[in-house]
Amino acid sequence: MFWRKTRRAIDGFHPLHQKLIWEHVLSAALPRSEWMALLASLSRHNELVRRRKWALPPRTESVVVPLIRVLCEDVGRGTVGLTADLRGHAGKEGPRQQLPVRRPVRSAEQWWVRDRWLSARSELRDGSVFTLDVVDVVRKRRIVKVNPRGKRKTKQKTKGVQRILTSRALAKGQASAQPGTPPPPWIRVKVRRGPKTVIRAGAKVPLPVEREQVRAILTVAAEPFRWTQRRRSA
Amino acid sequence: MTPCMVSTGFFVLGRCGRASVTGCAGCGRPVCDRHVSGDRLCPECATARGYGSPYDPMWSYGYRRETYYTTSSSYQDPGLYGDFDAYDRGAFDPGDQGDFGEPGDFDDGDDRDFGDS
Amino acid sequence: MRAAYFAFDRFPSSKGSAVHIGHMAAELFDRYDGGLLGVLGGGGLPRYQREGAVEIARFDERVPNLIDRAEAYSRWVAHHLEPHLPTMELVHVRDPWSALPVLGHRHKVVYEANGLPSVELPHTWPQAAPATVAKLRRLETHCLERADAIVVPSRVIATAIHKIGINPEKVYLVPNGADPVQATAAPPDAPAHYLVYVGALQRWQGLDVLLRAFARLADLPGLSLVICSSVPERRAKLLQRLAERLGVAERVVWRFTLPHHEVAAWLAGAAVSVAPLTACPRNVDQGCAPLKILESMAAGTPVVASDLPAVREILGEDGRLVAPDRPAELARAIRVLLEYPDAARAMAERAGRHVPTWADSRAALARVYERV
Repeated sequence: MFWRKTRRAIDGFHPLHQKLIWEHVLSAALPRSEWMALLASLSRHNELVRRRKWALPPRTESVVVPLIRVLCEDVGRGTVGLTADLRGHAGKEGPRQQLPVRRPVRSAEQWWVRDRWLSARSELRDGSVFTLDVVDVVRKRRIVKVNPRGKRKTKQKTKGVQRILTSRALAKGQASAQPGTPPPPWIRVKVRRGPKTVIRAGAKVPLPVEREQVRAILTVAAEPFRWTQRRRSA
Repeated sequence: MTPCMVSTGFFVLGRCGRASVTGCAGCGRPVCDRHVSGDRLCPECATARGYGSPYDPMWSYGYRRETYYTTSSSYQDPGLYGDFDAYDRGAFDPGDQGDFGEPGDFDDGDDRDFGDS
Repeated sequence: MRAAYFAFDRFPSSKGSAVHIGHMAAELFDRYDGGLLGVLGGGGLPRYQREGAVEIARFDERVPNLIDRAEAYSRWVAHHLEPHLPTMELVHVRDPWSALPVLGHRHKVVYEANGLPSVELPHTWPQAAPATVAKLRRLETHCLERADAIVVPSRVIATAIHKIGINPEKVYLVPNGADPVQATAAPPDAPAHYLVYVGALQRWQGLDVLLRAFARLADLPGLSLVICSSVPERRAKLLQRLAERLGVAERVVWRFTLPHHEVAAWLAGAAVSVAPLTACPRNVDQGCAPLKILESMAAGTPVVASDLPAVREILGEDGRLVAPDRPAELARAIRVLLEYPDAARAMAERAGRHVPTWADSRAALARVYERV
């Protein structure tokens, strides 16, 4: 049997790491030390596993790993929960709708892919709770047309956007104040005041390329934290 | 005991505060055994020397700086960049100026600056 | 609007920095047909003011904590600059708080480094932690790295900036200037025979050294010391107490926050002008370009100053240089100048001939604007 050594190496990885290799999903709520153990295991992946079939799924090293690091920096004794579904958009299509057509178009159908591929929840050391959801929303259209000589043409169009939703529920009695500058116009903020103030910041952005993904998430995530910035009342 | 002066956290900043073992060779601030890197540097000075990978335990310190910079420019909020925390600010309160001025100094809007010549 | 000048400093004021801002901003606005001047206000100065094509906006929010105030000022700058971004061509700044919000846009940024806040901070705010200073240094380096050109008043600061690792090719020397003084007589309320000190009262100015030196000159009859402070009287309490302890209080004449032209008269009438700067890192490593020395030279007054690289650069051989922080040596040098008034006057005249004027400085700055 080929790849015997590689399989043995994979068996030695962290269980969550193995699940990521076989199923391309990761879901756990762990304290910081456990996440660090998983990262240590992930860091050995590329040197031990050469086979492309068993490579880490896309967005693992560019998005999930940095995000785990960032989230773990702020937790105290609490846990960080993270669910990442890195299987891609395939298999997540919604029902297909037929759109009204005029000749020469013979059929036009449209369907949506909603892929909530990342969600996270972390209990921060200042007592607040931070949550994050990233949803890819992709519209797909398929158009078939026939020209006068009977030649068929098929076109498919894709338009993707991403919704990044973050919220932070402050600890009981934790003070918050509106930041001195508004967020950029593409970030929406809602604040629910009460004994526990909840600050939600969301954005709809064109699907970022993989390399820019963490940056987009962190830019939105910064808003709920600006409301409790270290700036003390004057 | 001199406490370690490394800022910890990513969004919720704080001071490490453990007992320091040495001073950073780059910026001179006291650093504890957990935060000192091989070249006797604090995490921020160490990551400033290279990009590092997210697998590196010190990576987030350098990345925090970068993130605060990009965020501060997209939010038009330059205050985000400085990442001065409550400890840093504490030294700059009026009325706590040793023999350097009077508590009422600020009332004339003529307070000490960062450096005036 | 094509140009803007931002400074985290009050303007106008009695401080040397205000004179400097005035000349530099004038050159910028002459060149770009007006523009926006953003400075600190308070003390009854108007928030908005229009002078010809120049719009002056003043930040006067009363935030007690200095860092909070600086950050509020930065946001204020960003806010004021925003409507002009599409037309802005050049922004001139003097400090990191003004630089942060103006960097990263289409326009060019000229950073005028008269000092490095991270070097000055431990002197003005001794209780600031080293970690805070390190953060400020990073902030400052970040701004210097991204500016299109850096303007410095002396070679010592240029060296300090090279040491941080900034590309020396974008650092330009624009020396400070002083205009020839018309007034040659001392003000009517002046003592007959006096030494003069002009400037602020921070520790690194070395006024305590001057007072101790002055105490050693007690045998000279009728000699007074005039201190023209650019800061208000309450900052002088410590020094006034020291003068009393040294027994020279009744021979020290204090003047506070005088307008610039009155200071010129005090300088012109003095027997000797003293710049007793101490040898602290702020003066030695970072350097400074003391306007008081240039203005004394322009007024034709003999100068006794501390022997520091930055001072030597301005004064050359045409003044008495003494080792810093040594009251006895300072007293001896002053005594020599007082005993040989003719030689002293000749030296002052030589110095007066090579004082750069503000017109020279403005021309140097204009060349920088052309380059970027």
